[in-house]
Amino acid sequence: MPEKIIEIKHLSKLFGKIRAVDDTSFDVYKSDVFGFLGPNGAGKSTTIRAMLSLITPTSGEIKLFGKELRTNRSFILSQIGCIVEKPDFYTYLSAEKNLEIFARISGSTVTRSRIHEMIEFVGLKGREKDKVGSFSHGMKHRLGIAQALLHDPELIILDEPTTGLDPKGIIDIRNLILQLKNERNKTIVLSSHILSEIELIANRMVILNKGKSVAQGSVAELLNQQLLVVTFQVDQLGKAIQLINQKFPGITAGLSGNDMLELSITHEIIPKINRFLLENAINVFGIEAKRKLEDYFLKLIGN
Amino acid sequence: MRSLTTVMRLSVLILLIVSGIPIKAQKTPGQQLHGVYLRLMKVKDYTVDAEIRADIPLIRILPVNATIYFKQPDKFKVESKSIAIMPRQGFSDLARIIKDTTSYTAVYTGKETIGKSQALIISLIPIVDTGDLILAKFWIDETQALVLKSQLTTRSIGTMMIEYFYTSQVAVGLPDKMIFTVDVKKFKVPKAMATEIQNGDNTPKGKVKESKKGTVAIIFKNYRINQGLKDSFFKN
Amino acid sequence: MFWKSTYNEFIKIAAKPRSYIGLGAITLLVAIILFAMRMDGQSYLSFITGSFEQTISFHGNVLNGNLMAFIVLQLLIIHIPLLIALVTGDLVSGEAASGSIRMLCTKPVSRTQLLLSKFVAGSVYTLIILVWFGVMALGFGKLLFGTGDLMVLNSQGLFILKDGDVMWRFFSGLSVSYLALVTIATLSITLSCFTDNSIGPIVTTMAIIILFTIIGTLDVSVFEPIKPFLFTTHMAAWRSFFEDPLPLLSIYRSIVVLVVHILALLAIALYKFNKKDILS
Repeated sequence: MPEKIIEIKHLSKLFGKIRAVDDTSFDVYKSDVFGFLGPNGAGKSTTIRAMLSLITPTSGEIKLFGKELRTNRSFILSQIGCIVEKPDFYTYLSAEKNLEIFARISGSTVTRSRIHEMIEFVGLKGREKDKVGSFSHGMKHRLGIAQALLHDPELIILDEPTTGLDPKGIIDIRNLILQLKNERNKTIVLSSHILSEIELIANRMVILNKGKSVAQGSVAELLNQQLLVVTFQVDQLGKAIQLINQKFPGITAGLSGNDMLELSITHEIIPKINRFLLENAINVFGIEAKRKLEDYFLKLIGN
Repeated sequence: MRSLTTVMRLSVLILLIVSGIPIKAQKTPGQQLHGVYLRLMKVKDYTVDAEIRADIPLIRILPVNATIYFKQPDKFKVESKSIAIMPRQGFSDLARIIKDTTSYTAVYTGKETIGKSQALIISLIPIVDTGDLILAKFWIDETQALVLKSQLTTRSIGTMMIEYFYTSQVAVGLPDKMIFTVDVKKFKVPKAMATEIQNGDNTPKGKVKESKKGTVAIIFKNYRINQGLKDSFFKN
Repeated sequence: MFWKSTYNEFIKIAAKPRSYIGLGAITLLVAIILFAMRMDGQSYLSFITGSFEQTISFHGNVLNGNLMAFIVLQLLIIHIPLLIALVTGDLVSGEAASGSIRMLCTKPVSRTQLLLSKFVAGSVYTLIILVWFGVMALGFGKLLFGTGDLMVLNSQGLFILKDGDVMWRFFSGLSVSYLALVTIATLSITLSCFTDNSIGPIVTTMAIIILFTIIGTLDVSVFEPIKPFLFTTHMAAWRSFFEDPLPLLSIYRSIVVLVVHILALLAIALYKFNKKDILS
């Protein structure tokens, strides 16, 4: 059994009357790339901030590296590198100076050569003497990653790491994360509201909605379920629903949110349904198939 | 007959002797002052080291060492590393007032014993009453033609009393010590500038000096007389 | 870790342009005052000594560097708090506003150490401001006006202090002023912990100083019991060193009140900062 790096048990956080996190529990194992998925306001950032002791939980237990966060804060944070939302540096200082400041209080000895190594690693070589105020959003993001990796932490936490990046920037971050996992065997936690992003990188994930954990486990298992949610765009919706319910008793036909025929079926049934509709003089203008979880998540975002 | 003549001669002699005494004491006040003036005029200029001690309500100051320069008739300069307080009038006015015989009427107004000296009190009353000086009084040691005390009453500063003490420079009429007593009724602290610190511990409530007089005592040492001070020296 | 964090804070303060506003302002203000006194100092002096000068005259170097320093201190010491608060009021809230507080608080430095390091850095900045102020007032004052006895005016009249008796008084007075200014700095840092914007703590600090100063100067009996406990009442404690004899009890009281204020404000700041959820 791999070592547990993060253990969250019944974590709750109230801001006044608002339950930002509501009795959430999950674990992250060593070498995981763990995805936090959820729409905006689901509680992802709140949970991450609680893990980093930026906020105090209302109740629940947070353990990292087998130690209670509340009583072992210094040790735990010395093992973590993180970016929470966007990386905000001291704009009146150079990139190099900013990294020196954070290196000094990272809990490890970070040499000047290490700083320059990280600057080169994130592709900012030649810009280290420039003030961060002159950096673009993407450059600040890269500098944020350099800051997170300076002291070679065991655990890297990235909160919405691709927000505001252009497509190339997104790809760069994705490759970097994979590099960190594969080459340096780091444990990585990243949050996002984009399923495809998590799907491409993470091996395990939890989905949060309204502060609660609604699904968690291996990404492969959660997204590779047999049943698909298939929508048919047809011209005689009522007739189509009635006929399918009659002809295919094991299948429940219903209305999707955008007035299309929606069925929960396996991949192989799709052409059969399509033929049936056409044979019954119901025109089919389009077919869309999604995995059930994906559909569920998209509905969450839509709501 | 011979005894009557002797008695008459003796009587006339006695009369002459008795009447001779008033004839000898009848120098006029002006003449007295002139005698003082002549003594003062022996000194054309002087430089003297002075220790100045001021005891004046609303002012706290430690004794100060200064150098005082004077040149006839009224050039006066004080040099000091510290802040020195001097009376505004009276220091160098003596010769000027005494010399000016046309502006004042001098009258005897009494006698007083000061120390071991018998002093004649001479008052100078201005003939015209539009000037600053209202009245000047001098206590003169007639045997030595020295001013032992003076009192000047002016419109601008009120009444100032000056006492003179002589030892080493008595021959030229320069005192070794002077004590000025000044009128301080007009002294006040400008409220806009003064700020209260914490009221309490060191504020002598009820014990603030309400004296209307202050004194400045000056002790003179090491007179250097008639050294030929130039007028330009006093121009600063 | 505390000293490393403190060193970081020094770097940040030294790099911020606003840190030099205070130094520049002091340079300019003192220069203007010295220039004005050079041009027309006698008139100013006459205002003080006018009522005395009908009867007596003052000789020696009255308008000297010591008097200039005293005048400058008197005029400007109430304005320096703003220059201090401009920097110290931004130490926490400025980072919250810019978001860098997030990065700082995820480091293995305790919040207590973080805040104390900001306090130390802010106190050192205050010291630099005061030292520069002293150098400008005394140093340049003596350069332009020479040295001499100091003439001090208080409600009991004129007090003339010997030149040799003045420097230790200035040094002691400035030391107590430093305590008063650190109180201001601590107040602004404390207020800075309650908000995420920079202007709020600065403005609120000045508002509190003005309010307390008004309460302290109003001659109303209902305020008498609290006046001795207002820190603004003791901001002028430096002047006590120009009394003779020294009102030692009064000076000690001022020191105690100011130190208690500093400790109490620091305690509030530490509590708030430790409990604060970093949401920015």
